[in-house]
Amino acid sequence: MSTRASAATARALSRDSGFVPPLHGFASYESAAAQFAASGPAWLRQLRAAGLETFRQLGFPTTRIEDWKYSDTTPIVRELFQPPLPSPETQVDLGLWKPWLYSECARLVFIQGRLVASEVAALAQPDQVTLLSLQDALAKEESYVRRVLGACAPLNERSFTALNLALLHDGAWVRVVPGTRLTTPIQLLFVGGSVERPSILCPRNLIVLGDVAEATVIECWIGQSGASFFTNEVTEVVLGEEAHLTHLRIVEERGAMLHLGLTTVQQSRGSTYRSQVVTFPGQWTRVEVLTRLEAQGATAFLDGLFVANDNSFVDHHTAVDHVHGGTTSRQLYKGVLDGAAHGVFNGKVFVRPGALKSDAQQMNKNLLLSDNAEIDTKPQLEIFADDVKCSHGATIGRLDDNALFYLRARGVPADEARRLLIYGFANEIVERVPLEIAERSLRAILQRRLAGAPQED
Amino acid sequence: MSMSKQPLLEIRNLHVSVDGTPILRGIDLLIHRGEVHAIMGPNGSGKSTLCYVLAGREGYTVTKGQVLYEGRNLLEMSPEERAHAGLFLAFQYPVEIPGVGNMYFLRTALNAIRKHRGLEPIDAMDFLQLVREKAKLVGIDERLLKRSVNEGFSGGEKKRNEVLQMAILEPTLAILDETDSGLDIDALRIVADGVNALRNEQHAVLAITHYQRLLEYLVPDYVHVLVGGQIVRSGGPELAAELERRGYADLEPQATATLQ
Repeated sequence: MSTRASAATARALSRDSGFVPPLHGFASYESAAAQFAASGPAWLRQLRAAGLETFRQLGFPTTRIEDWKYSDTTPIVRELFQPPLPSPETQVDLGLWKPWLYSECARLVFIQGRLVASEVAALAQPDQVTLLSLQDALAKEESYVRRVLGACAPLNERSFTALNLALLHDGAWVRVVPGTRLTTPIQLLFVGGSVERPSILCPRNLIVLGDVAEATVIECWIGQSGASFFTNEVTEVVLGEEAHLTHLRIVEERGAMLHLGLTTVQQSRGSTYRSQVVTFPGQWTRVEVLTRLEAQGATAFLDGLFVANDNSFVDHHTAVDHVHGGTTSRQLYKGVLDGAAHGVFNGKVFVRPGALKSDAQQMNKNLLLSDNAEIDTKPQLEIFADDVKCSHGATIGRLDDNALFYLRARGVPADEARRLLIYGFANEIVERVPLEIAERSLRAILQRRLAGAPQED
Repeated sequence: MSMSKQPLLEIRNLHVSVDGTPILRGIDLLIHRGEVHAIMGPNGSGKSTLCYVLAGREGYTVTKGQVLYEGRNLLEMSPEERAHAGLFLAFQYPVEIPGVGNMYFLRTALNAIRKHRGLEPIDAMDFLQLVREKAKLVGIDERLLKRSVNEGFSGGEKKRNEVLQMAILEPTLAILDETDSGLDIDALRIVADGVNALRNEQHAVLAITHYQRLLEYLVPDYVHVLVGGQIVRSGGPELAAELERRGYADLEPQATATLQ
């Protein structure tokens, strides 16, 4: 299919369905899919085939789709992304990523979608947790993987999820046995991109906590400098009864890096999902967190922070589904936008019929630092039950002139005062980060990105 | 006070407007090192405007007159330059700054001023010791220091925090904008003690107040009465007591009293 024809088709499709095919056609995605199609058990091959078929039918969403109204996928549609070149099995020097290797953590490191390091020696309870690449997990505990994969991230009309499934090759597998309070945090480090050609990466992570299990998982998504790539990742989380997961996700990208992340969570009775998503986008980033509170006492805390400048686009979508009554959710997302950055927050809370005594709060606060920065914020409540407690809100503001003057009147130079206030705004999220080394790491990034935020005491 | 000595602050015929409305209408004031001045006046007389103009807040237009600080044109200096030069305003309504730790803020402010004085940033341990000592002096709970700047502080705690900052930064000219308002008598005494500790030949204080109460603890050398944007009377500490008895009612802004 020629580029011209493809563009015409794209417009036609767009008018009809709100989806467009890739500008260069499906060929590169199909060849990427073909690379993995034959590997793995039959059920997985079928899943991949179904994913590819759905993606072929849908293509990419356009802004005509309500959920993509502010998220123009053109940068993804127009680029010719190809699967990563197979890399020679040489030793990888992790020293390059040293600031990202959090001490005290057990860790898997993926470069260009390929597992390059598995550092599990730090695990204090090695028998109570399985920390493997998805490929290794398929070899060792296929029946577990089969039960989880795709279960909480159904395809529906989700073309990116379908694409992830079509290209599914590897990812991380974290399973904590019931009753285990995992003392060692787990870090999953993903380094994307090669400078040779724009690549597409579709990792799938699965996190399963048994009843009364507890764990902290930190995902870090970064890129090789100068690389152009598109990460289309999906993480599925299944929490047993009274299970508690703290899930920190950091995306720090730059330049021509595109990132789409989807995390879907299933929560059983009394479980707690504590999510913190912090994004420093490259060209285009969208991160979605969807959680289903399926039984009494399930609680979700969703925090987010995005700091964008230049021409970056960053979008945070959340959906908390109060399927059952007596469930609680709290959301706080904060955005700092400078330059000509464009930010989006779209948070949904659903309270299903009969989900009595649901308690949901949602807040999005944004700081606009330049006249060209833009934010579209849309906190939404959809309530189909009585006797619930729900609130939502959004604020958009500039730096507080009173605070700025107060700092300057104490001798703090104007530019430093500005940075201090921005840092203070972001700090509300950063100080909630559970692991000190991750908190320090985030402060360092903030410092770099804001050039002059305070050093740790 | 020797007349030949250069004044620390010299305000000459200062006229200030806000959004085109004249607020200060010809202020003259001389403050020398070592002196404590009090400005009293009813609401709306321009007391806070005077404070903000001296500290360099935006939104105030000087239409006439000048202000010299140590012989320099104060009005040309940025707020931070004024702070570096030793001017300090204790705010009537201290600002809450969520996410910025009080300790960090104090140290940033102190180091900014030290830098201006050609000093190295203060050592972390020395700073901690300094803060502890001063916190004790102004009776501020150390736990408040660990919180964000003024966040969730009571009115009295915010005022004490202002005095703590003053005690740490040791300004040459401290301007107190109704620091006494909203304080109970114990807090008032502590605030006054904090100010009195600064009182020596090198420093000067300009205390703006609505009530005479503060001046019982902080005995001023001079009292000025500000009404309708003009200083209508000046005198010694006895003037404050007189105002307390008779109020401001019979004081009209006409002939501007001159000092000395």
